[in-house]
Amino acid sequence: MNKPAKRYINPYLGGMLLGVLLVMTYLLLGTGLGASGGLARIAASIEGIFALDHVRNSAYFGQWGDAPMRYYLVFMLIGVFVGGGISAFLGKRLKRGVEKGAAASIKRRMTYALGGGILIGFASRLVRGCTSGQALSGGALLLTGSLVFVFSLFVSGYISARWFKEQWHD
Amino acid sequence: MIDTFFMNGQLNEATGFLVALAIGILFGFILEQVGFGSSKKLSGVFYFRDMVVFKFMASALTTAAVGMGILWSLGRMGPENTYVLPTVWGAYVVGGVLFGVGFAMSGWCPGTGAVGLASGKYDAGVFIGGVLIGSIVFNELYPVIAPLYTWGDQGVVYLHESLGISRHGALVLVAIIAVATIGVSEWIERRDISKPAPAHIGARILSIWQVTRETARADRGFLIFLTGIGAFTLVLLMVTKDYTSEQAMLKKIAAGEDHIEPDVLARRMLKANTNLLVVDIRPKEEYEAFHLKGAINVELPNLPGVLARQPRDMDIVLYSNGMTHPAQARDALERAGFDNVYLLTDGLNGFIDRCLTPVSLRSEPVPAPLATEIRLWRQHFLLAALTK
Repeated sequence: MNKPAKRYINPYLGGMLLGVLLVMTYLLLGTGLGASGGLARIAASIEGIFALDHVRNSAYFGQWGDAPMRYYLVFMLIGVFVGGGISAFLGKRLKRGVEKGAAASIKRRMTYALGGGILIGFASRLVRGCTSGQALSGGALLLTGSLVFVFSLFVSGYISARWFKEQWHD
Repeated sequence: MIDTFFMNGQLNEATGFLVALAIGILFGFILEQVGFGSSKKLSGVFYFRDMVVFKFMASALTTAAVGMGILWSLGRMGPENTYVLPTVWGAYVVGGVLFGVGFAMSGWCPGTGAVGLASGKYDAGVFIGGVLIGSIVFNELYPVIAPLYTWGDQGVVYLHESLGISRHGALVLVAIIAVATIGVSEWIERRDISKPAPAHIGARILSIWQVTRETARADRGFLIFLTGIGAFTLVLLMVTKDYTSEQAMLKKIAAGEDHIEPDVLARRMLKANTNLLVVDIRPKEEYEAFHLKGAINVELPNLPGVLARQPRDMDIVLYSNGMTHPAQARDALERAGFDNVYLLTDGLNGFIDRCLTPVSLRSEPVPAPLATEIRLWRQHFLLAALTK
């Protein structure tokens, strides 16, 4: 693992590529990209393992029936994982571990990762999407709600970032 | 209109799954290639350390918006074959705030988290676990927070509608904001932090502008992006039509907001000082034979000139024997900027039928209050003609 990682690509070129991919996604599927939708479906399945009747009768998860994973976004998410892995492999960036500042503890980093995940899991259901589905895909259609979401998320992120700074300290 | 899976119902069938999987692979690949498999890199945006998130999102959003704008304008894509999310103000603001905190806290978002996990990052794995938990928490709390979920639901709303500008205008606005965001991002990364930033806001803007130009010269990717969206936006503006104002007018017509009913007009004409001008657009001879008392006679081509001389808050009602000419005239005047013009429903013939025909000659019984009004109207409009 001592081979140096390959360089990242130019963010503007990468952005343009993703923009083109997004348009192709709309052309083929008629929907935008998405990631949180897939995770929500997986969550419904997992809760269903432990409390199937409860999930069936839930107002939110219940609307997805008995096979919530039969949904295109689940497959898209699997693809994101696979594609990310291929790219990391080709870029010699596959590396197991916890990414954090040198001076930070693993416990702190993992606590923040978990806490942030729970918040985002909840918030993404509330906004019917995440940065891929709402911000990017909705924003590409110039939907007011998507742009409101993006604005609100970055303002909030900037304000709250100071609380979480230590995890990146070297 | 392109036959998308969303439109033909194949989205959640095997073919839809396969296509979604392939798209996902490309999506994940691009995200990782830009460096989004690293939470340290992602969170850099919040500490002005690494602005790649802004650069990437700005260029991706604008590229897609221009592409979709062209397809939408050409009628190839539209609400019939596209899954469009509603705008739910309350839910989105609250959700945005929570999401922002979560993003700053964890350094991940769902898509990048999957990429991070694939790259071997354990913190990404824990993050994904958190997202699953958060989704379940949402489901459990849903009965309680359902009002929040729909708080401020406006249905599908586009930026140009919210701002009252044209669709093309909204796209250009977004492109400008995107390029400005990129300029600020480059400026933040390049500036020498040992020297203080220019204090004066004007000097700071100039500095950002200079950095943007430098970036365009030095960064080939940025130059390609600028050229690309510049060229395609030009194509969009020149080759496609923006029907925003026509659509607004058509909606008004469909809702009947361009009409005024004969009885409503009659009542209003009997009152004084109601900011009303009634215009008979028929030829002079017909006007002189009979017209509604108080109406002036203006032939069609002279309408803009006459209307332009009226006060802004004046309501103008056009009538003829039927509705065709007044409707055509009204629409032409609206396009010319006169938004206070109406046409008389059923025309003069309808007015005579509904307001001036004596009660005794009508086939249906007339309620007493209306009968009284009809007598008043006959007296007002017909006596005037008879004693002309």
